Amino acid sequence: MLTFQSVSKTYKNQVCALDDVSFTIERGEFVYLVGPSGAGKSTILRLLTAEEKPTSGQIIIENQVVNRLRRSRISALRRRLGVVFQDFRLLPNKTVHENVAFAMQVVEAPVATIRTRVPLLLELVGLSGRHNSYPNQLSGGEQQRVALARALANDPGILICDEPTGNLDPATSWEIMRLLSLVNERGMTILMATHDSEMVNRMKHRVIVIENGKKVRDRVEGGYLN
Amino acid sequence: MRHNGGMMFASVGITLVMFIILGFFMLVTANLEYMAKDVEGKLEITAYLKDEISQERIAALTQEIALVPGVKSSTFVSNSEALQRLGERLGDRKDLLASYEADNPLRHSFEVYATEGDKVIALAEGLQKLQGIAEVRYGREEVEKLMSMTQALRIGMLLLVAGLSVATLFVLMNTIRLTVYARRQEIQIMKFVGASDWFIRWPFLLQGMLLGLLGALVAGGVLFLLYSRLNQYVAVEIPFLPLIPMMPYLLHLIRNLALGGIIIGFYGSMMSLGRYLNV
Repeated sequence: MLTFQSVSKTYKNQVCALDDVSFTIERGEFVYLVGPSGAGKSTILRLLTAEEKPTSGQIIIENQVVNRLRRSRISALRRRLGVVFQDFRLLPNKTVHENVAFAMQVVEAPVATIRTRVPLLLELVGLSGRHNSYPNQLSGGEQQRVALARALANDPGILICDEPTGNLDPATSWEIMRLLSLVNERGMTILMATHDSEMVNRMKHRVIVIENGKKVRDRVEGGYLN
Repeated sequence: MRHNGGMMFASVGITLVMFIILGFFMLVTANLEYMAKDVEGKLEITAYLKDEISQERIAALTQEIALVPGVKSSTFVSNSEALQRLGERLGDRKDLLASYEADNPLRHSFEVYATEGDKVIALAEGLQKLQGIAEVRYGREEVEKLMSMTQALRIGMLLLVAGLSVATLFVLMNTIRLTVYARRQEIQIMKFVGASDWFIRWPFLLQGMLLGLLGALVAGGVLFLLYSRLNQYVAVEIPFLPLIPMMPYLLHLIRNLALGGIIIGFYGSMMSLGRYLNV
């Protein structure tokens, strides 16, 4: 459902971030995107969310070519993606409930739908009791769970995670990973960029390795190799 | 929005100043044009009579004026009739004139129409020589003077408005920019969650339009008060000066200022957003 076809990206300052990268991710897969810093993982994610356009090649998401989208179409694309960041990126002045609801308000979902769905999402991530708390009252792990609930709010086609455990301690990281596993088992496609080699080895999934802008390895059997 | 209350105050303040000045000029220009039109035609001459004139003199003058070359018609206007006309102009402020009914400060006059435009000056001079005539006024002269004044004022007003618009726009844009900056985190999140550009824009547009509207309305209120005071003053001290009556002109003025405020607010916000936000 997601394909990179010979995608290359060179930024304006002549930096070549990606060089002829190709891969396909099927529905329901869980794929790690690994590689050293600056290798090109973030670029791949930014190309997926249409924050950047590829210099050459094609990106196809759910049968739609997304390299040359008009601005109005970009927002529509992003509504079909769920994104989780390393730094959570919750709105500090809104409660947990409001933060998740916000994603639905932005796509103009009916109020009644929001009212029923948000508690379900919070229950899924295990935060039903905290729906009135503010982000600064939550631990890092709890905040990330809220971010996850928000990312799932509009039932996206794919969940994109950019170092979701980067700011978390190992125990909490593991909790998040278990949640992601759960979500994946229910059918959600997940693409996760990460440094966390231990996690990649513990919870094995397909691994795509990027180094210096090139796809170096695509191991379906998983495991982080150097 | 609490963050930059000071800037918002400045925005409203400068919009206010600009609209007061603009409104003031519009009133002055409109009044000048009104006065110019009020003088019916270039051919009208008004000959004011001396205060101490006798009834026989008035009767005699009626004959004499008709004999002056170039006269097409002439009508006597008593001072009570002039007072009544003034009353009509004041509308419901007529009560101001109540005290004058006993002691009318206005003069008797003759309204004289010339047969042709180029006879006006000679006719006026001829009238001036008649006994009992205190002052002769040409319609045309006043019209010409007023028109050139109006023209000059118009140009001045346009320049002033252009300059002030830029200043107002600048302050408004800065205010919006600060708000945008204060909320940039929220905006970024809105973007990656897939909010459309208009969804993100509209609160800022609303803020800009309200600021502009507020400045314009307050300016309108100030002008309303000032003009009504002016009307009262003029009615008493300078009665022959024709001023545009308050209603409905001032309501139209306020409405136009309000529209202007909203438009400036809208464009200021759009420009700010485009520049600082890529939205």
